[in-house]
Amino acid sequence: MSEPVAFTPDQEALAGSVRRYCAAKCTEEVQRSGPGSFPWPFWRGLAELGVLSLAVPGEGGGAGEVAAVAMELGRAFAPGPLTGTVFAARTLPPACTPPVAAGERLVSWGCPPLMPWSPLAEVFVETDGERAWLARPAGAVTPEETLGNEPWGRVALERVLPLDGVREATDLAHMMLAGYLWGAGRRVLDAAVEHARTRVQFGRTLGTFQAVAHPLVNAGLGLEAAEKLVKVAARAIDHGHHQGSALASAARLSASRAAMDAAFVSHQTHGAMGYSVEGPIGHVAQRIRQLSMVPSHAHHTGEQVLAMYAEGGRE
Amino acid sequence: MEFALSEADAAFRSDLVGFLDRELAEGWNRSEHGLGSAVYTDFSRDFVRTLAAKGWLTPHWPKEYGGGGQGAWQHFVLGEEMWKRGEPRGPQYMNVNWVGPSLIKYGTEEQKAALLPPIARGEVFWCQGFSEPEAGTDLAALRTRAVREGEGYVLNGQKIWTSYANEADYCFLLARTGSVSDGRNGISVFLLPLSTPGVEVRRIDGFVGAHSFNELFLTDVRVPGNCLLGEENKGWDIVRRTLAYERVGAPRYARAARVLDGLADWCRAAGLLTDPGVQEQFGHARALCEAARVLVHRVIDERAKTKEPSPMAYQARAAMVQAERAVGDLALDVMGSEALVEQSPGDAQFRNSLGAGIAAGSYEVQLNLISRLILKLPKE
Repeated sequence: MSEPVAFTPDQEALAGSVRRYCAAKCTEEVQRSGPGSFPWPFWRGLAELGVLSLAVPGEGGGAGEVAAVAMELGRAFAPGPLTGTVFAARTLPPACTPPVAAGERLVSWGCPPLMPWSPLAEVFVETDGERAWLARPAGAVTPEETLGNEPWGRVALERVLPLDGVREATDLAHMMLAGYLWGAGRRVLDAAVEHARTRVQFGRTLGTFQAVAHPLVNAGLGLEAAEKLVKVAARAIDHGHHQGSALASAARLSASRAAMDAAFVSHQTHGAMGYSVEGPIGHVAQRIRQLSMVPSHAHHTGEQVLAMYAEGGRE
Repeated sequence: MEFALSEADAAFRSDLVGFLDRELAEGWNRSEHGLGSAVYTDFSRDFVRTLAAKGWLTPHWPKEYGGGGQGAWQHFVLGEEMWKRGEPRGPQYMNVNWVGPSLIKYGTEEQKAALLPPIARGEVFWCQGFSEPEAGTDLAALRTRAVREGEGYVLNGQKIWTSYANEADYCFLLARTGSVSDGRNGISVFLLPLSTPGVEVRRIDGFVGAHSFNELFLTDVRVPGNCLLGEENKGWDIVRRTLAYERVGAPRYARAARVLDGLADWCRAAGLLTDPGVQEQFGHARALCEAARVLVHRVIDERAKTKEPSPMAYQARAAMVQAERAVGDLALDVMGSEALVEQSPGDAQFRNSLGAGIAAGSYEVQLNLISRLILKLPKE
């Protein structure tokens, strides 16, 4: 590709507005809100910024916008069913999208029975990775607490309506996940670097020990690469490049791995502090592990990347 | 090195396993309640008294101090079977592993007579007051001070990450009796009753349990001279010995291997175990558990023969960290989203594996020690 690997000025401006909003409103309390305390005002604020409607067809939001926003949301550790919202906004019939885009109804998106956000959701979207349906619960939701402190639950679903645009929606969902994971990974790595720079043991700052410094550097390399891949994928999708979907899958996998590595290294650098619930990284690392999990309906993600190489059509 | 237990030790294991299977209610697992939770510690108090009554709390201690006079292998078998089951002894594994042995080696007759029998009967909790906010991996930088006053000492300072301090009766506490510039040569061990005025415990929630850690604040805590263990300023020697026990005192591989068995059952039921990639991952993780087990066995073998800790313990501990991490990765890889549900094997193992390279001495420090003491690489 001969174009620069960067977001457009408009995308950067959008990211800037999300960054400022999160700096002001994504407080510790909002970040750490768990089951039973969903931060509605924060979520509606995201809707007002247009974040929840980015993927609605015709709203002008493409993969670049989704990715640029996602990176900020991950860095701010913003809560909420962000990926499901992106997928639903793209696929739901026009009559169903306004309450979702306005932040009034939450989306549960996944493959039943274990459905993310189902205890709080009013809109259910089932997917097997290739197809998707608007669905409704066929019984009560049994809540499950999760590693990443998100309210999930088990529920049987009844399919109501097949949905179109699954491939485009999946690409955008990949971009949201990839961007968020990159941002969260960057955050825990930055915290570790700061700790290594200031914490003194054995009369030296931790960062002067190569055993501490090198893993931090390696994790940083992974995140750098993932960032570029996210931007390349976003551009490819928005330009209708035939490898857009495969690049989106690659970006997701790359960001997942990079964020996991960053989380692990950050823990090892922080020592016991990382293990404290009130500490700076434990809760972020747990959600990174949660989001980097490839669920059963996304098993094609790796295959898509492989297929891109089988084509031999790289530029 | 012995690869099989003696007949007597094997019989001990088989009796112990039978007892534990009966005694530990179906599904007993500390992660359900959390390390340091009241449910867990209450359970431990009762359970340990039962163990003590059977002579299985301190079988390796000398008989004169309430032990069974048995060897290092029985002690080890006990640790392995307990840890496998989520350590139902709670904090008392520390009492029997190293608090008691340190008292036996360094204590006065008066200290031994007063402090050992309650441990052997399973009546007291001890916690370990080592880490401080500015002294973690670099333990010798600790700043808590003990100043002589008449026949006793006045303690001031702060400890952190102290598991079980909220429930413990005593703290095995390190404090500085020399100057900071003396480093490790100015440290002493104090046997501090936590009921002493001036001791304040504050809770820290951790992600292996709501009440996993504590901070310990010491403000003008006055203790009599007989709270000092060993000689003044010679505490580091005691600690070095103590930590050598601690390295292999928690046989993490045993629990990791048990989690692995559970995961294999889960995968078999889900029809995943025929996948060659999954099989390879299981094989790899199991091999790491086995490697850790054999390396720990070598340490125990050595201990049984020479009674002195050696650098082999660092290798054993590093191998345990690798095993714990491999099982953690595997759990999340094979279980998919189901591993994210709280209390699932994936969730629990992820939390454990993150702490494996930190608790009881960081992985990096073990590697440094191995490179210096076993590979004989130069320090500078």
